[in-house]
Amino acid sequence: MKTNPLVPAKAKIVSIREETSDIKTFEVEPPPEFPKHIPGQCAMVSVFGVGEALFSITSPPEEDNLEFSIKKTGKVTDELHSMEAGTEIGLRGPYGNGFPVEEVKGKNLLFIGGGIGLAPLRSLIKYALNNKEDYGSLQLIYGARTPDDLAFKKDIYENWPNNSDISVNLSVDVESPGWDGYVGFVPQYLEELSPSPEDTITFTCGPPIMIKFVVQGLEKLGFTPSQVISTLEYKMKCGVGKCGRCNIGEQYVCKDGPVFTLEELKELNYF
Amino acid sequence: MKLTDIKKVLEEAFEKNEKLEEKYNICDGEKENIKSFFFPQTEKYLEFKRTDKGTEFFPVNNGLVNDSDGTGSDETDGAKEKINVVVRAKPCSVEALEVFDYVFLSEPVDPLYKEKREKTIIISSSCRELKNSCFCTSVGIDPYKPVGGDVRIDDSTGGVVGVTPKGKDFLEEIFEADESKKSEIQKLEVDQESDLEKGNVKTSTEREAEKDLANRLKDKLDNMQDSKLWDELSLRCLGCGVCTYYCPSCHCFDVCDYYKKDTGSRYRAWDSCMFSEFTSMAGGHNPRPTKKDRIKNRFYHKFNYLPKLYEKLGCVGCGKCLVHCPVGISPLTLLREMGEIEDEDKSISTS
Ligand SMILES: Cc1cc2nc3c(=O)[nH]c(=O)nc-3n(C[C@H](O)[C@H](O)[C@H](O)COP(=O)(O)OP(=O)(O)OC[C@H]3O[C@@H](n4cnc5c(N)ncnc54)[C@H](O)[C@@H]3O)c2cc1C
Ligand code: SF4
Ligand code: SF4
Ligand code: FES
Repeated sequence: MKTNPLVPAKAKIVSIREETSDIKTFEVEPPPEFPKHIPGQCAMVSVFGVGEALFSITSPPEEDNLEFSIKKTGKVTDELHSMEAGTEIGLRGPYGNGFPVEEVKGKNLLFIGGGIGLAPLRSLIKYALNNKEDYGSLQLIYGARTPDDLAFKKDIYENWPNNSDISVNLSVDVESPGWDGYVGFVPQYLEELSPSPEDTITFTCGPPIMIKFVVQGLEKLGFTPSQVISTLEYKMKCGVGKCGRCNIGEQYVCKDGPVFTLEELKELNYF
Repeated sequence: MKLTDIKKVLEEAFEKNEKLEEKYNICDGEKENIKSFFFPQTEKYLEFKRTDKGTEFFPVNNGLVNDSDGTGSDETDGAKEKINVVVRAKPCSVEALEVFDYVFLSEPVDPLYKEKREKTIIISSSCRELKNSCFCTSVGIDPYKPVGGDVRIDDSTGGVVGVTPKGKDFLEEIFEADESKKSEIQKLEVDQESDLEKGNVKTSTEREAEKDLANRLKDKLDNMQDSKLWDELSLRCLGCGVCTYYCPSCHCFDVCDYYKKDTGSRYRAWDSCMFSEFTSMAGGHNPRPTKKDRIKNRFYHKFNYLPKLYEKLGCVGCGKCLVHCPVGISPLTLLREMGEIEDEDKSISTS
């Protein structure tokens, strides 16, 4: 029998890092047959006996191991959070179209993330930094509810601010002790920073409500729908366009997405 | 030979011959939803054992999860290993399989479906039980013209014809076992040869007609995004999902794990886009939060999205949803709204 695309391969958790009180990053050694991913692609992670869930691969393709940053929200993610390094999990993928890294060569890249939404962007940011000569200026606007909810602290506080190739703008939703950065929602911060649309492609990932307002903000700033790229999150089971769960119109988010331009989303009546 | 006899003929042949009896299993395509022969309601595809060292996988030898302790490996019911012979596969059911083929045989190919599809012998025939609820002709299907299948029964001539090599071999096997039928059938097969070659695949004209219809309905639906029909239907719909379970072309599934003691299994199970849980996500976000969104998605999937993807409708007009829906919702209402059918006229005479 031909191999079943729904059957995962076994993979080992190499290390686990705590990002926030409810997000952990898992470094996973991929099975040998796992194809190289494109930033923005995802993988289905299995906890045998509990189930599967889809996560963005947050590491860039240049790294041998895969990283997943996982927020504790339910059955599979609870179980993953209770695991230790060395535990075996299941893995299948990579799935989805990924970001158009080739098509946006030569452009300035603006990354806009909220909460765990930095996970897919991080793969792209690291990729762009690794291939700096291919891209123009890089800017990140990243926000979360509180300072504790900001993920990837080492990257956002150390690695990236110390790298002159990218500028980092952080925000939190509410006043918090010890926070002297911007306070307010990501779309507001965007408006205040008011980046220029010239030669720039934007990548937005975060909760649906944030995406909605960021998109409106970008349009106000003069970004055209083809300059606005976003990833969508839909509930998924198969990841390969068969279980019928994740469609927007005739497109399946798992297969034709999760990365879409605003232009495409408008055609699909999503916006 | 008469159409009505095929099941009996096979049963008689199997009775006389133990080998056939052991090898084949007769399935009634009229009484059962034929998708379940290729896509069982629950289908186990992975068994595992968690140990200190990691996870061990075990081969799954059958597709059913009906064991009580979750181990599943002790099932030895021979019937599951048999080759299914689907008799009386009506044009609507066989057409609906095209949707399944489109979904499960496109890359990445689903081997569970493929294996069953390749193994099963389909004996297609024309429809003998047109009901008031049927509207196949409105979606371009001729109930009196058997399609597809490995063996075909033509009731205009009473002929039994082997269509695919698999179907021909099967007939051979039956006739070897039952000499009495041999001469009669072989003659029929020769008689039918020319027709058969024509009818096996859809002619380009038939395929064009199918495309035209699919595209026409697709275009109409493109302009029905804001139709009041969706509000009306959503007020009635109970969200019970019955329509999707009976529908021969609905293929959505869920993936579940079962785990007890050290062993567990993973299986897929029929699911329904009419359930609110189907798309609801962590944090409470649901891209299809209302019944209106869901019912609209279901009809759009069949009459707009599938036509966009492969120029074929996802509804075969079998009327099963109409019969079983507790509140009588079916695509018939939509087709009326689109002006595809006149009230009271389902364009086919019922018998
Ligand atoms: C393209 C994509 C990329 C993703 N990337 C990440 C990531 O990088 N990090 C991360 O932490 N999460 C990510 N997610 C979300 C993640 O898949 C879900 O949070 C996860 O499936 C919840 O699984 P669970 O078993 O723990 O929760 P469950 O116990 O299954 O459910 C808890 C709640 O979440 C809902 N749910 C189930 N499956 C999903 C799903 N696929 N998406 C959203 N809600 C779901 C349930 O309906 C329920 O309301 C991504 C989802 C998608 C579609
Ligand atoms: S009539 Fe109803 S059950 Fe039959 S194919 Fe169409 S939608 Fe499915
Ligand atoms: S069977 Fe009828 S009531 Fe039930 S979900 Fe389908 S349309 Fe709604
Ligand atoms: S997750 Fe199954 S179709 Fe997209």
